Amino acid sequence: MSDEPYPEEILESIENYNIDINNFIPGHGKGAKLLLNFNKISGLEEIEGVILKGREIENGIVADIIIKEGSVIEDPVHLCFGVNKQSGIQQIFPRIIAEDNTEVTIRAHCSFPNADGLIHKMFGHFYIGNNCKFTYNETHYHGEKSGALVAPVSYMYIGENSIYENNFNLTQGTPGKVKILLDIYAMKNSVIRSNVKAFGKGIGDSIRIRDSVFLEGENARSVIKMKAAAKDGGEVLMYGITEGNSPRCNGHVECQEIVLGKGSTCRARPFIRAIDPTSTVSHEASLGRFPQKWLDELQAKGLSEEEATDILIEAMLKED
Amino acid sequence: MSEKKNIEGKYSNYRFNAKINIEEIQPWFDFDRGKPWDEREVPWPLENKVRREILITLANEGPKSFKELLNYIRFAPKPLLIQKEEYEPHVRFQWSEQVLENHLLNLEWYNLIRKRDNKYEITFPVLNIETLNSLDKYITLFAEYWINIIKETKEKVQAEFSDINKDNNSLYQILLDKTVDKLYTMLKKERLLPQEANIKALWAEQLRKIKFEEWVKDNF
Repeated sequence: MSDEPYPEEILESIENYNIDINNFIPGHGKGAKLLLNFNKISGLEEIEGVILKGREIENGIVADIIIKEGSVIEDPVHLCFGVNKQSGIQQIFPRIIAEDNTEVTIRAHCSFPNADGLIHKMFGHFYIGNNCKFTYNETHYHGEKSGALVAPVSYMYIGENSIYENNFNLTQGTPGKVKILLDIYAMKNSVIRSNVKAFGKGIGDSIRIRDSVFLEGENARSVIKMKAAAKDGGEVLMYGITEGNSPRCNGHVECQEIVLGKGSTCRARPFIRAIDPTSTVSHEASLGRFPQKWLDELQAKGLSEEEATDILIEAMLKED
Repeated sequence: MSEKKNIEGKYSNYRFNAKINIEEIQPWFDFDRGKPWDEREVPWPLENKVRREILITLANEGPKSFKELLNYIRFAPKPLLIQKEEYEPHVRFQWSEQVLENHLLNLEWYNLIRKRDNKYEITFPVLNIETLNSLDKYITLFAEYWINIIKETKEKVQAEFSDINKDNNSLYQILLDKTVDKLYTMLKKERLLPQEANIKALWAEQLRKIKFEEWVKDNF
């Protein structure tokens, strides 16, 4: 484990998402934590009910996180994957197992403030047992040069009667090239809520997110909400999949994307499929500009169209 | 270690491929790919891991009955680093009969599996490492012939098509694609390929398993 102080600019990027940085630093704040500085583990702190283990490998780490059976963890588990170098490769292989009857919130932050040719990859597996309440919040900051290539892939299995909430936020800084693949398998009576927010701000920004929920158990329910904006040449593709494979399951995909400035592109691909005759799956998507009435109302208060649009985007990306 | 490999490999063993070769562009084909708009190279049923797992099981273990498959698709995840002596998790995932039936009907509809004598079996070839090695000598032989021809004609091609081949390589992708199309047409005329309008070949390649095992060897 490294003794070097944790880079301040990474901590600052956490603060920009209104998150208390103390909770991420070992020896401070509450909750279990795992800090990664490029490819070195710079902090690891366990608490009662949470087992954390990490191993450094070439270009990254492998990590296990186990929430012990019946544990209700009040303070979030903090994971920080930071790189303050301009370039390099960071690869993370986390495996999270939340045993039956557990409650926990994981707060992950991926920060690459100086990225200019930096590659971050993740291949994660989440296994959530029965009767759990599991929340996974992930925030990203990729600097201001559109210089990161970020490609996380996660497979998540959600047990019977469990509630899983996934919140992904990439709205600060310039994202660079982002390719996210998330597959969630929902078992009997489970409830899935997946919220994705992203903002591409320039010609070097391309955000492509595939968020899939496979309803594999009777009465499983899900809602995928994808909200994004592309500005000044940015590109966003939101690919929301919901499959109704089980009796009486119910899923919905919702996508809202705003396109601003010339050369920007927004695309949405809601794919919904039903192979069980008692399943229900639906989708809705809207792309383009905000309704004129909303803009008129703000412009009547003295704002320009651009200022009004900025306010509406901020509100859209903050909305739950 | 072997247990870890099995758990991980269970869902990462195979890459599925499908290729459709067409004889002429038709109005309902995508403009960009020149292929039917409704038939992607990897069919959507393979996006679901449970269905992939069924195919992998049938490819690895041979024909299986419904009850046997139900047993095969359940699993209990294990940690990557934490040893059994330190802590052993008890999370289990089990699919119901009705959901498995839905998946099997879906795979049957897309002709990826078939039911025979009350057992399910896959309908396409699986290239394991031995088969891939045996095929390799022919693949190399075919490629070497092509290399010789490319070398022989390089200057002539460049002189004739310099205006569309400014970077000296973009033309070759077009040439190779068009050559494969032509090759299929000529092979059919020679009666060396089946006389089907479209030849659709789906196969699974045992590639990821090998890559994953190499990764485990390097990192554990």
